[in-house]
Amino acid sequence: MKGIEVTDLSFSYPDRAGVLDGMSFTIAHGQKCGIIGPNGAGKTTLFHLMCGLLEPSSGSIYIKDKPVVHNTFNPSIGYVFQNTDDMLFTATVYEDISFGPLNLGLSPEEVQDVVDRAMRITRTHHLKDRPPHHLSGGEKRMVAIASVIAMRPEIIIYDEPTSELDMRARRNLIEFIHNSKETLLVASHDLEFILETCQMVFLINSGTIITSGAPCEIMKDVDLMLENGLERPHSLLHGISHDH
Amino acid sequence: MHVDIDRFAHLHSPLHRWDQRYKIAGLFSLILVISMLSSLWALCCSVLIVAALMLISKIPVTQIIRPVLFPLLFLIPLFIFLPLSAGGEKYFFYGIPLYIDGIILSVRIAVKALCIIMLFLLITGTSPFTVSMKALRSLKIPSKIVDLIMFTYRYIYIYLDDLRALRQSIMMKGYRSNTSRHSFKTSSYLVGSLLVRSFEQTDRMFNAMTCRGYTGEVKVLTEFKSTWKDVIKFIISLCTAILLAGWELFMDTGKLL
Repeated sequence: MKGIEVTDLSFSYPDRAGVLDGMSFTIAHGQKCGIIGPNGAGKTTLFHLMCGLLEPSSGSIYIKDKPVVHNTFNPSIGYVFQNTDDMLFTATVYEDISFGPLNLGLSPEEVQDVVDRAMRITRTHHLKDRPPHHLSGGEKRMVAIASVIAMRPEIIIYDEPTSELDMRARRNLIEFIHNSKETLLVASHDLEFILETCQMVFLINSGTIITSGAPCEIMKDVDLMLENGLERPHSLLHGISHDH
Repeated sequence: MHVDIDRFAHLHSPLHRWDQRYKIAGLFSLILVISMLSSLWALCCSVLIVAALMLISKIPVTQIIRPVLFPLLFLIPLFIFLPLSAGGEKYFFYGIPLYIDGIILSVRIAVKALCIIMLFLLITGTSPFTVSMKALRSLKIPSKIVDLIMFTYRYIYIYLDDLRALRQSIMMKGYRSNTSRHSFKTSSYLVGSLLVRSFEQTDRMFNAMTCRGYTGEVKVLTEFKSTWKDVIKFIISLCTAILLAGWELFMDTGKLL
């Protein structure tokens, strides 16, 4: 079953042409995919197009066999932004997590249920009355994730999820992603994180997919990684296995 | 370290237990009446009422002196120029002519400002910020205004942190604040950079909200339950406001001195 289907997707900004150039790929339902590539490769732009925040110059995106329409809210896709401060804008954690479910038109009881479930899964229950500016980077990240999973999306996009995490919070996030059942799309420069969490990886550069396949296979190719502004992860040098 | 707006919100007092919707309505009626008083006696009475409310609230006065006095600083030019320029009897103080009407007007403005600020602090300080926002929504204050207050509260800390980080970074590069042209230029770059950052963040924030189904209104769960005690407190504050207004209207004591 197809989760995401992208066909001949191209996009240009007014001041930058060819940010995405005829990109095509398919992700099966329930798959955990990594997107790797150098800065400016088009990862965040691809995510914005998938969420309908930008309109493609050409091509199409289908999420669960439904086309993504520009500026139309699609509750089946959740997006965890790179900077969690962009996502946490209300006065308390609880209000932030309940923001999405309320917009879905759920009743107060249902909202309470889904928010409680999201806080339980992300272990953020103890933070519910705290204002977001009193949280650590790791706590903010987990609250941002809770605010997305409270909407029960089938596909979740993570943009640089480890960018503000310490080692312990990063480990918690890896465990959390291992246990999640949704289709995941993770963009990260933390290649070890991708190795630990994803079953498949797309290497993109200059708006096109260079290659795709098993993370270990792609990342151990030193020449390929160097050609695309990346480096082979340290764990692959020492033959540490990454089983999923 | 951030100043916590809710630092007195978890004390226990009759004011803290008062339903925030009734509290806003009741104390705002007092604010409205006090802002229109001109009688010095009525104003003195207002000071006593506000002082009594402060005592009841158990908010430590020593810790709110700064937020109370800070807004009064903006009135200093008024306190300087009014006694020098307003009409009435003239007195000489070390050779400087001072007008009694100007002095009284200054006192009136100072007392009114002080009372209003204290009442505002009582409204916001005796309940968590989030409850105040919910109460404003319940009182049908336009959601755009409430959302703006909420976003300001949330993001002011981020921009203050940004400003602090930017200041530290330019200090590390040898910048020292003084009155030179270079210093002014650097400060303006700093402010400009902060404005651009805040604009970009607004854009990203709007995208994040859109992804979670935002259509122009922030919806929140409200769970207010009022009791007869809340209503009685509201009636008392409303009656106090009416009494003060009555004093002003029917007992013409405006010409105190």
